[in-house]
Amino acid sequence: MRKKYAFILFFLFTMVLGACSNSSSTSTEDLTIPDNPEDVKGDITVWAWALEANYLEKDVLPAFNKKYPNVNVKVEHIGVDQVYQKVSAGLSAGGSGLPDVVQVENNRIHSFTEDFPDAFTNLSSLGFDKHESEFSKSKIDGLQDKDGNIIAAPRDLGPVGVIYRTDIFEEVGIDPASIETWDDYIEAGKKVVAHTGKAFLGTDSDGLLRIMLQQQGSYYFTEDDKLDLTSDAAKKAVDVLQKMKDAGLIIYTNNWDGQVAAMKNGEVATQPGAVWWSGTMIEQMPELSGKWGMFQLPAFEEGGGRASNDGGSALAIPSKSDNKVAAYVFAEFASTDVDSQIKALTNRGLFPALLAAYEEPIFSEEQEYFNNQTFFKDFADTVIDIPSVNHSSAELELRSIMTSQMEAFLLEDKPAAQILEDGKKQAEQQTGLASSN
Amino acid sequence: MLETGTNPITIKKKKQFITPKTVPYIFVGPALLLFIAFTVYPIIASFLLSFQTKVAGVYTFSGFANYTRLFSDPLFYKALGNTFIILLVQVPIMLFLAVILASVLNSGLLRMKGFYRVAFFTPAITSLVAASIIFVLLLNTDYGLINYLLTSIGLEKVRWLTDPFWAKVSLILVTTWRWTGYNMVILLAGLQNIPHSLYEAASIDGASTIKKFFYITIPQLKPVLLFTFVMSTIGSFQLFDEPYNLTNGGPNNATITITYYLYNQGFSFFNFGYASAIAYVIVLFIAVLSWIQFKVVRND
Repeated sequence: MRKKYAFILFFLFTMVLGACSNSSSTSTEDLTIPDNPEDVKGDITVWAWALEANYLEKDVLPAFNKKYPNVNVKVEHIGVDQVYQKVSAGLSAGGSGLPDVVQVENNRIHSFTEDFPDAFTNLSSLGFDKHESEFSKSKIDGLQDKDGNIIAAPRDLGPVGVIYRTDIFEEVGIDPASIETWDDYIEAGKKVVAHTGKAFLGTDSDGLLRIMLQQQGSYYFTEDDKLDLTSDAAKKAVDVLQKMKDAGLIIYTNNWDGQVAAMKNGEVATQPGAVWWSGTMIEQMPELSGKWGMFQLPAFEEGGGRASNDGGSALAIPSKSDNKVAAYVFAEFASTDVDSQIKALTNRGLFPALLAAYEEPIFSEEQEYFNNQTFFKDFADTVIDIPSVNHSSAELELRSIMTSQMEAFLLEDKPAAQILEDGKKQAEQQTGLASSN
Repeated sequence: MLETGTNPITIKKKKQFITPKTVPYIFVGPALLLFIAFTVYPIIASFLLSFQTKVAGVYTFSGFANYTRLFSDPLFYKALGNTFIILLVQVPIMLFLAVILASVLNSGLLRMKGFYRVAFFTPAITSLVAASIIFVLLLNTDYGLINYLLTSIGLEKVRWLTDPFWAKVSLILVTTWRWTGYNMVILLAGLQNIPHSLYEAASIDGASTIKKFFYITIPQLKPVLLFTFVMSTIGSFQLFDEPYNLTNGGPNNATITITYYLYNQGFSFFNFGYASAIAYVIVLFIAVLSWIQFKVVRND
């Protein structure tokens, strides 16, 4: 008898626990943004990490509070993994415990909206549509839901180019302007490697593969969320990687630290990478000042696309925020205020997605660290050409799978053509997604 | 009259909530509630979750889908294989070292025993994140102290953390470093329970120290050895911190363990249903292995 009671008690207890997480409320709030900034009132909490958190707190907030004196903003610095885990846990619990504004990377936003269609506030309905044309198209495309509504305010992006050692190129006698295709790049690499006895480039994950795919307007996924690993673009990309490996140009650098060390110690003469490398380089390799430059990504065929993107984040407003108006004006300000974008670039190295910022003098300034090149302008020039691609909700799984495949390719001599087939098989198994071909 | 006289007493007794009979339950109550909330409930919830998959953000019942997926998942087999390699290579090495160390520390020959006991036990209570940072520096291919020593005696550099084979070796090294002292202390306690008279009798019969070790120490230690063996087996199946901090499971998943794979599925990819299925398979493995180990020892 006693056992039975204990069991019933226990059963009831678990039911109560389970019920706790199922509470939901639907509220229809009045969401008109007041014309007078002083009419926006209240407290909001913001979650962001690292540079973006510093940007929001130190660069944006003082200017924001001048315009909106009655909004009290609290920026919480939380590590990137914690932000995602907390957001995921909060959304699973019906939106409780979430902040009013949260930083989300472009490539992660769909992993939330896929699982929780109402995760974030539709910013278009609050009037963000009017800013649509002010940003690079590829950025905006990545932040829209299936119905074309903008669900997060764009912040930074990572246009890609080839960062290279000007002194080594000069010694070997290579004109970077002559490198127009990946074949040209490989020929130049052979000369450099023959001269220095070191590698031409390093990679630590699937980053280079992703860059090469997006450059061709292709990606791991098609627009309709199917796997696209054995596309022609992917085959072209791995062909180039195989040629690089056969010529002994490419080394595996294991991780971020290894990649930084390879650049700092002259193990590599080039780095196909995003503009945000500049921040790390200036901070960690000051002794190489004046020895770096940038040229555009080589194309796959003459006249082909030379722009790609790696990274970038946005500011979203969780649907359960109880002060969406204040949250919206903050996200809008952080996203569209030109002066703040410039501060993000100069103070934090975060490259703005706001096109108007590129007209500012800082972009046409010659950067001493980069051999007096107009470094930021040269990256900004590629932004409008960056193709839009689909970062589906299975992004992280695919990155993990293809990083392993790249490791097998570089460390275990698996043929590059094989990594696409194997990656496809593994991805189908892991994600349950179908392949497009 | 008699009836009315007894009634008040029985009523009074029934009202009494705290009696010698109920007091134990009241004392264990708070702990039991916490245990139910944070251990029993998750165990049951994750069991139910292992039969569910996420469809548009909602977990829905899907039968054995997670389990069938598991059996056709090459990465799961790889993680399982890695775990077994570590189990079969690392655990015997570690327990062998632990027995030797414990015997040496238990013998009368050594001075400063207290110091050595603490020294060997310290890794088990060191923060693994801090220790891993040191190991990552020591094992660095280009600038690590270990490779510096190797090259200074004319050997080639070893890619400790970036080569699939050596990464496993590094993982085994670090795990052994961390857990040998812990097992040593348990075995030492076992050694001290062996009656001294056994050794004295053996000495009178003229047994050598080696013979005493194999015919007295080891058989007498059997229950303690079994305990350390079972604990180490469970530990191997739960190995997570070491690969997470040292190698991130790489390169090419050479050091991904079953628990690390579970973590990835749950907390990186948010497939909690699938992660729960992995957890229950781990439980099954540990149960079967422990059962076999008990059987083997009992049949001896």
